[in-house]
Amino acid sequence: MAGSGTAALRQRDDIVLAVENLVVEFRGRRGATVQAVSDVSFDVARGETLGLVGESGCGKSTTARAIMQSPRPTAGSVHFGGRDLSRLGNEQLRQLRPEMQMIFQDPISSLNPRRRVLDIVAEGLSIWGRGDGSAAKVADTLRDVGIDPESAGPRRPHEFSGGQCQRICIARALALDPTLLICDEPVSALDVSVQAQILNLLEDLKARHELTMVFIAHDLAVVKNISDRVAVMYLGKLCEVGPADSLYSAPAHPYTAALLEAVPEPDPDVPLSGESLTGDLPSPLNPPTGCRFRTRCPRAEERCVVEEPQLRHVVAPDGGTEHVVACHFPLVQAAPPADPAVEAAAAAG
Amino acid sequence: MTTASTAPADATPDAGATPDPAPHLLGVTDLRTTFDTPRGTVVAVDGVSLHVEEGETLGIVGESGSGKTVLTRSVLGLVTSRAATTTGSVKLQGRELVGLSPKAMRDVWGVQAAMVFQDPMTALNATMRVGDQITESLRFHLDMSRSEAREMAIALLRSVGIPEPAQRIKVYPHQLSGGMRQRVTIAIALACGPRLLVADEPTTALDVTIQKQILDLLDHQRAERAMGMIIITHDLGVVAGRTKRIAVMYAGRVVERGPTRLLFHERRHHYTDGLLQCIPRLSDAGHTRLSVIPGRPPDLVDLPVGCPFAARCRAAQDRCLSETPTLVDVGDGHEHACFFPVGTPEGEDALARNRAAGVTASGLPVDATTEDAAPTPVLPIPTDEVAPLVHPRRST
Repeated sequence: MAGSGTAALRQRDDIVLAVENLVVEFRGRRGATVQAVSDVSFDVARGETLGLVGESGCGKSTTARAIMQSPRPTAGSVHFGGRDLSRLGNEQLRQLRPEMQMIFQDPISSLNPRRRVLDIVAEGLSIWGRGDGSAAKVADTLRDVGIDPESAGPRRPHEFSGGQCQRICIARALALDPTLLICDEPVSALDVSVQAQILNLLEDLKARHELTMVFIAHDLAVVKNISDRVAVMYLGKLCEVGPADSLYSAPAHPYTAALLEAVPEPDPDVPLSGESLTGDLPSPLNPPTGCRFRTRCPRAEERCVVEEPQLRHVVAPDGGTEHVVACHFPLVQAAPPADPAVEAAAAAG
Repeated sequence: MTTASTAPADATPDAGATPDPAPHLLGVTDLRTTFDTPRGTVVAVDGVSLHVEEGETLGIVGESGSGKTVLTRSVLGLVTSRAATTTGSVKLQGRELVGLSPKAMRDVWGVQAAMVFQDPMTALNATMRVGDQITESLRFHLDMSRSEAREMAIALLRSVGIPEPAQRIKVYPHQLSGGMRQRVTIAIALACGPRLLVADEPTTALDVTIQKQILDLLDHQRAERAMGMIIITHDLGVVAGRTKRIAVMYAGRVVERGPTRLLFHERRHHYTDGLLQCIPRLSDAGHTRLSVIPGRPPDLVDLPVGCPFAARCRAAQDRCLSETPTLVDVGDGHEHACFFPVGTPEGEDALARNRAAGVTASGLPVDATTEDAAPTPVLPIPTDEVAPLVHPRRST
């Protein structure tokens, strides 16, 4: 992917979250800098679920945390609810926090083992002075996620299984009626049987609470199930962004195709593909020049070494115009520059 | 080498494990592992019989808490708790392992049978260089000299696909990525040329791309060394194309087993069906509602009479609550333990009856239209007894 540019951004009125040219750097040893997220731009419209996919170390969790401003990004902007979060002061940001909530990968370690379930879910309400009637609100929220408040409320997290703990985490996130829910690999630690329960639950809650979601995962099948739009990340950059249907039926980036290949098909008659992505993610301390994926890409050529691909539009099979890819040799034909302004902006970005 | 399992002589429920003319690489008969706890006896493995031949892969599938991990640890004599009791028979290359002292087991571990664990970071010693962790067993079991062992360790690392092996033997586990660490644990397991390799959720802690690499590597090594292999997983997708036979475990018992294709295409047990249905597939349209297995695995203390899956089964009938089904052979080595199997007239009738009644014999609500309408109410859960349904997956 290794692509930059803002071609993934859309011109729409109902954009809830817009991330522009986001950069997150961490200090390494001896003055070295690691750019965990470099120049990433995407947006999420109201009621939409954006799936963020990539291998461990590609920067997807860092992106999620940068959206939450924890820690704050090194550069770039995060527009949420019409405001640029990265320019807000701490107190202004705090006032916005109830609007955006997060669910984490390991449900057991993200719950305080010494507190009762009721108190865990009620904490946000009491902090925000919504304590009046909070008992009823907590009970409603717990019932909403399939946890019985009567029997479960006074218990502590260790008495619950992983799937139930994840439900409690979801209840805690929803207690404050957020508009944006960021899910950081919420099902990666769960059995497939429990994973299905949680995915169904998230779909229900999204509809019932009119949530906008960012859903992070490394399993493309899981992401396809829940997402309207999918963004594929590699080594801190976006490879491909597009509507889920278009991206899955016609992946344009070789990395997306490789990820799709790797999903195990639960059918013994489907032959295992011989090709697999070799090697590991390169070190973000010293990323490859040009396209960052070129070291593992079957289509890489000289041009990929010297020139970084920009995100540009491709012709989606359904004629859609919201599918962008950062590749010099995409698997799907690139769109003719029908919209000179967009293309020019992409090239300039 | 698999003729034994399909021979007509094997018509009894325990056919897969009965000793027959051709001895299995691994033959497990009526294995039972119990743990004494303050609340009573937990029957983690309840009379399991299975076998593995040289060069073939057996998949063991089940949710967390189904007993699949305790089963394989019992097979390899790795259940060390004093509260545990293991009975039955485990024969590896004709040698009985149940009852062997840990000292005697040392000649088995690594040499005859080796194991790859789920979490490579905790399986490796964080304070030892990876090379030393490989040479340790080579020096102990094969009596190699230091330099021979070093050469061998480099060769092993190369064979498991680690670049620059001569440099990598000097690094510590924390300097490697998750996939590389799992390759190292595989190299350690393979070091002394075991005949049986047991991989316990070898890829659960890894990304899908790395998962594919590791599964390919295990398969390649199995074929090259003609080893027997057992892969344990909760995901039927992982074992679909890579195993010869699969055993599905539930509540410490094998509830269905058979050749992989039969198990997928003619699955008979409702649990197997549920495990397969709940996997999100790339071929499904987005936002497809996933079917779920309601509830969770039962408490293994005082398991009631009857089918252990009855409480979660959409086809459960009165008979399932009063009588415990045993494995029945339905031909071609395919066995299942269900009175009302999936895809049979009995099974369809049972489902239809339950749909009409709106509830199963065990009280599970069944809706004719939606599969998972009502949120599952929380049942009282005893402390500490339920294995958490969580795999400690490390994210980097």
